[in-house]
Amino acid sequence: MTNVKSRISKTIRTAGLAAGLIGLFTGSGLVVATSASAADGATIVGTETDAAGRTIILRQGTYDGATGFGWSKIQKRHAIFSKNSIGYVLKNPDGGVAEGEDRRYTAYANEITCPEGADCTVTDSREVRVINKAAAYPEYYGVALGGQEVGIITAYCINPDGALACPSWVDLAIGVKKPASARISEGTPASITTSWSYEPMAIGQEVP
Amino acid sequence: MTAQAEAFVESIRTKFRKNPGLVPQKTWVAGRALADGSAVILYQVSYSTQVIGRRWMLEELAQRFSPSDARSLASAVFANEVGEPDGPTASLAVNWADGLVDDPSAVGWVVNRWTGANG
Repeated sequence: MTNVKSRISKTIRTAGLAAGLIGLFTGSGLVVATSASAADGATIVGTETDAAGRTIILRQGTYDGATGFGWSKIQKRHAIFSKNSIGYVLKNPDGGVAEGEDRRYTAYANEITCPEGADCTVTDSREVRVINKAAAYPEYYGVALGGQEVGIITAYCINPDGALACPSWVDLAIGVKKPASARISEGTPASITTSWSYEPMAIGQEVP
Repeated sequence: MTAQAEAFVESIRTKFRKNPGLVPQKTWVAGRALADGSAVILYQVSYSTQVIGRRWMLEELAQRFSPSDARSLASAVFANEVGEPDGPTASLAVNWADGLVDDPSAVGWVVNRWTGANG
């Protein structure tokens, strides 16, 4: 058990350091402090710089239960509640992949299980995507943007069954809640923690 | 509006070919514009054998966007709707996919305001 705790502790320390370095949306001076219910859809609720130096904005957006864009949709449709999760994906060193007027950013949330007395292995992994639309639209999904850039339109997990929502542990893996993500207690035969990466990790892969 | 729907479908089809990275797990099957001005596309997903269908009423869709030409509308919804996880689908007694696949009744329609699946 001591070894398991030690490994998890190391992971948590590393995670905390990374979260501090990233800064992300919540650390941006441009964040607008406004409640979701009061926010206009065009309101910019976060700003981040990607690895290539591009400024990426996140608007409150809108969501009608099926379609929409921005922070409203990301939370309600895809169950990503930490802006740090989005910020981490945007920091992919590849700078994102241009896809017409959109740019696609990718990272991976990984669930890692450490059985007592055995090596830690990856037991689940999800590709997390953020799509940014750098194009200017006067109106987008009924939200008047005044010809300004749309910004992040969506963020989601690629789930093996095509489900809409990211598993709750994804925010723990990438987001600000990371230091609380390790689940361990005396008497349990295995501990589960989470990590992130910009390269996919295979299920069953050993983690040092 | 049918011409607008035809151009919209063609633009979506082109995007499937040019930007497959925006539609993970999905492969284009077919599409058509209907006489009522709606646009229908069908695609296959890697995690299911069921063909998935989406439908938009172009005139109504256009009211939510500016610019609202067919190509701009296709660009607006391609990554943000088609490329995303689909969520719930419904089997509907409709003729929208007739002639596009062997068994149109087996198509699972993505729930939105224009499939009527959610009202």
